[in-house]
Amino acid sequence: MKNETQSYPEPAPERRLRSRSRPNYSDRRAVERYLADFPARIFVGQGKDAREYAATVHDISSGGLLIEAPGVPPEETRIRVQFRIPEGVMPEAFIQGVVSTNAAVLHREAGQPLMGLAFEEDLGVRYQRTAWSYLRWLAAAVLFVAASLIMVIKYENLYYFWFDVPVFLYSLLVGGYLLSRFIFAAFYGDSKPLAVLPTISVIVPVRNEEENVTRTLRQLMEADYPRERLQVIAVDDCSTDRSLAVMQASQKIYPELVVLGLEKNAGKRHALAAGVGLANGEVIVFIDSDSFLQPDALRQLVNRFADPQVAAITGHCDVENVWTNLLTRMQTVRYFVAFRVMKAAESVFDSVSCLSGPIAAYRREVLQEIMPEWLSQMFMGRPATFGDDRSLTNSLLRRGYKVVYESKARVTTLVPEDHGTFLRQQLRWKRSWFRESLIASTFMWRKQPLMALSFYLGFFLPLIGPAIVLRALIYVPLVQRTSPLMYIVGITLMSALMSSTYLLYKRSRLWFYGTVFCFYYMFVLVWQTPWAVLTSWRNEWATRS
Amino acid sequence: MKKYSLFAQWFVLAALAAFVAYVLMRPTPLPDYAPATWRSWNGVTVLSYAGIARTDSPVYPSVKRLEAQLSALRDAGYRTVRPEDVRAFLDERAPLPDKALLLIFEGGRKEAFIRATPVLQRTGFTAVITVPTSVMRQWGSFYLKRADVRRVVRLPQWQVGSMGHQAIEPLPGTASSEQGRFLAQRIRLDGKVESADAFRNRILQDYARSASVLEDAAGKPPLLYLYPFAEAGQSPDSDPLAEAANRDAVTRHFSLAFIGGSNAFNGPGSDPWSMTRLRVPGDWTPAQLLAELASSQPRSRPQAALGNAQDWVFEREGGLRDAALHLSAGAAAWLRGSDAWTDIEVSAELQPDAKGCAALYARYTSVRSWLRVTCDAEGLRVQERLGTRLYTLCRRPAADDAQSIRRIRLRIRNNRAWVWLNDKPVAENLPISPATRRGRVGLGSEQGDLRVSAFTARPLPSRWVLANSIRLVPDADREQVQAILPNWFRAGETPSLAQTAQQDLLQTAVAGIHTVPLLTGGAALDAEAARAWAGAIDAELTRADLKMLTPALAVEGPALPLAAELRNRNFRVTHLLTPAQALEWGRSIAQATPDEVIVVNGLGAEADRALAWLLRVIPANRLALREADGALAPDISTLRRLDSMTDR
Repeated sequence: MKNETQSYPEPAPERRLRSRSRPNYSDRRAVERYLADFPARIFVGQGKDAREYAATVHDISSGGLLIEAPGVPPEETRIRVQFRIPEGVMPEAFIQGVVSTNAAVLHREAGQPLMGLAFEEDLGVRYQRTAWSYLRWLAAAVLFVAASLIMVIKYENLYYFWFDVPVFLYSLLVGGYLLSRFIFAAFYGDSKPLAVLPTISVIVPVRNEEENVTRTLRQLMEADYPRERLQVIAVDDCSTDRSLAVMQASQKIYPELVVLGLEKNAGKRHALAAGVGLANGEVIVFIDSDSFLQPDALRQLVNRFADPQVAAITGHCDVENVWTNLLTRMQTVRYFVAFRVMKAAESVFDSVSCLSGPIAAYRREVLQEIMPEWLSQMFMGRPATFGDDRSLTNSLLRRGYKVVYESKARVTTLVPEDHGTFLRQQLRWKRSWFRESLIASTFMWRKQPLMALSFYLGFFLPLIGPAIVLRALIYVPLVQRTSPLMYIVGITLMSALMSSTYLLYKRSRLWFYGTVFCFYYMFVLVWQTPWAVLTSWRNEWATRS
Repeated sequence: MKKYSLFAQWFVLAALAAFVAYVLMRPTPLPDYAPATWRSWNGVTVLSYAGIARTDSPVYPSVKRLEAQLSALRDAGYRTVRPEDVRAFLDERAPLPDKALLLIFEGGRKEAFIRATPVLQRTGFTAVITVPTSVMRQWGSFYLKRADVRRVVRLPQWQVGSMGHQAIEPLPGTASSEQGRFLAQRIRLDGKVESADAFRNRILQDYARSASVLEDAAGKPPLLYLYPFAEAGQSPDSDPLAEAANRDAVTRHFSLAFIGGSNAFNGPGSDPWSMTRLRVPGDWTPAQLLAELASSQPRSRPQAALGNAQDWVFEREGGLRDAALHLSAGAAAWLRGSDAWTDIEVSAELQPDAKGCAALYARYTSVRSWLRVTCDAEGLRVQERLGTRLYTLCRRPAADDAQSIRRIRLRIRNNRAWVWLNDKPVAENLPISPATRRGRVGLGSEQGDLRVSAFTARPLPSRWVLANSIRLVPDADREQVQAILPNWFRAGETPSLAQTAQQDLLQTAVAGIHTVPLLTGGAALDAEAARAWAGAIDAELTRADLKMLTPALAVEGPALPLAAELRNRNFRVTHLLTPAQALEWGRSIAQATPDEVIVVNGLGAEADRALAWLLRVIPANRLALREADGALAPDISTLRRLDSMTDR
């Protein structure tokens, strides 16, 4: 039995695979069950007759749990169980401290210590009434207070603008830009389901992902999408581990899975292009090999193709290994805000600036139109080997296509767990961001006015960020002998907006890590920007395992 | 829908662009500052603020309160001036606006600068922010830093002044500034006391360092100094050397210095390094502030009785109750509006304690310049303070039957004083230094408590009479005469003083009336003739031993060669000009010669225009205007000094 944190919940294996389930998957579990191994206490009887027994939980869902309790008398059918769900065992919204609830014994084999318990009240219903409700109010309060304080500070910046024009101008621009993200994101609306689902081809480029690709492919094959309208193509880009063998093993389980092994390492773009060459769907979806789809992700992803001018759609990506350590927890909040706030804000203007690698869908004919230029992209005389997602997005935006975001098409992805890998990844992302933003700046002025303004601010402000941080944390204290407190307060308030947004949606105790991430960005990540700009010509992947 | 969305976006973008353009391109508001239009020689009101807070408090006004106060001042006609304007006024080089105002923000507080600037810009006012320069290196954003000082002086609304360097800090070895004032007490550490030289040097260094730091930060030397703790080493617990040491230091490095007090007004003749200011309480309404300032404006209206509390400025413990004015030991009460009084008559019924000492002050400009009459158990003294020296002009021992209530009357005319005690003259025709020219009237309790049961004070009319003999002026009217201008010398005639003229001169001198012999016909003289005539007049007056009693001579018209020759012989010159001559004179001169007096010998619109031009460069106390005939007596032409015509 272990009580330590898991990185992420491990669903109990679904017994009915796609090949043996009903077409609409109605025979699947209605509620996900998660494997577990943590202690619990069972209370039987009342008053003087009350007895307590130690137990071990082996799997848990919102409706009940499978528990091993050797001491509990077999005749007991109603018990009280008390436990604390360890981090990582269930989705983060369910990690809410000690649970003490009555439960009915649903089944117990004679002589066996294992019991299946059904909670008197579903945990989700219970939390909806208690913890989630409180957390929503807390989130709303923090959001309101943070936004109000930010408005007060910006008003003062405006009123005393003359006192320090450069500093207050920057403060107003940053504050305005960040607040506008939340305001625009508030206008992001849900999509309607398509009456007729298009045929889709899902391309999964793989390189050295033997540990994760099986799960990725299984979740793809088990996705809630009509079998006859789904094609999955996994392309091995000359992996040096057992990825190809693993993929071929999956193929034995799912014969319709297409596995293509490239003879030499060609890079992600070419791997994707190879997959596109085999694709026959009306819509082509790119999925990363360490991305794990929610069952309805594909179905939700294609909804916005109802608008014929929409050329591509990106889904929503959360972090899979949430609970591993401080670094992954920070990235969890960051990912959520980056998608549900930033991309949603861009989507309001049909101009999402980056169709994310974990999940993105393209109209086939549009993709084929832009593929040649994408494959041959050069930057400063060198082939562009990363930033594939941004580069593809730029090609679409330049042509005037609509590029949008679908919040209900959800995947999770594994994020770096050590700082070295994380920083290399971030450096690569910054290089591609700088390069592609430079290219995009030549045509983004043609977009809707506020989108254009947002884009140029979103490009300019991070570039001068290091200078601002240097001034606030070094120059002002050392030379002007003034505390950087106001700057730190500003960062804290901005981070509070992000953190409280996360709390509002996710009802998770991880919300505070949004603030931690903002300070991590201020002290660590911001310094990568000038180096990324200066080395934007470099094209090594750097985080490839 | 998309069309509306696009329209809305373009609207928002256009609004943002318009706002940015407005903010970036609008000109910095300039203060309402027009020295060319100034004509007043009355004086300047000085107000200071300890700081600006977010909400009103007894000490700090809020921004809203400050704006209300300054707007009310602007609407009441007050206009701000700069330190250099005040100094030029005190030097009699330039006038001020009619209601001149100098604003000071104390303590170098950044929030005061930030919050007050928009208010100053809206009201058109200027101000000085005084900085204790040691705080510029302090950690935190409470005080102005060097970069902030540069920002301050870039704005036309602001100048920077000094509050010393370490002067605001407690002395080494003491816990607080109340225990040890840096500029007033010596350092005592480990049983040793700072030597006199070290004390003086430390004070001098503090002033020098502060001036240097501010000059370095602002790019120009500061003119104004604000004494921390509102005094310059004069308080009773200050070191005996403190006052002189501070004086020496401040005069070397600054043009103006301000002590504290509750009197906002500083008239002409104020000591530039001992000027008063009123620290405005944070919770005063605009009406209260205006009422306070109005009560301290100069007046020529006499004070017929003790009046009410608004008529007095009290220092330390004092007040009016039970139909009397009470002062505790060391306290003083100053008659508001009397700062510019020159010739006066004041009387008071003083009742000091058995061992107390009461004082009646006149021509008080600062602790370094006044005239007073004191009375105590030992008797009566008439004393004059000039700088660091105290002169006793007259002493009368107390009579055996001395009463507890002493009725004292003091009269001052020009440089003579008369004193009566209980209606009996005790001093007549006392000579007073010319340096003690004007100042306020007040009461003081030097020792013990004092009760004043009656008080009157009035400025004496200051008429100049164009007559050949004082005997032509009726006796009853002679007290209104400050000077007589007899026509003793005529061009083309050999200067010769008749015996009667000499007797007249002596008689008027005893009465405290100046004699300013009038020279007629000299306007057409050339340089040589003027030299000859001036020499002859000089010789005649010298021969008769009367030159000391006739330091000034009057000439008709500009008579420039004659005036120059008379000045060469150390005479002060008074010009009697027709309105047309006065108008031309006013338009042409850039600055008047010191001690030069101009008389506009005429009436009407032209005379008024001439006065307006002359007031640009000549103080009102050196200008006189012809009065309508019969103002004093039939067949006698009279002139009236301009600054004696202020009525409130």
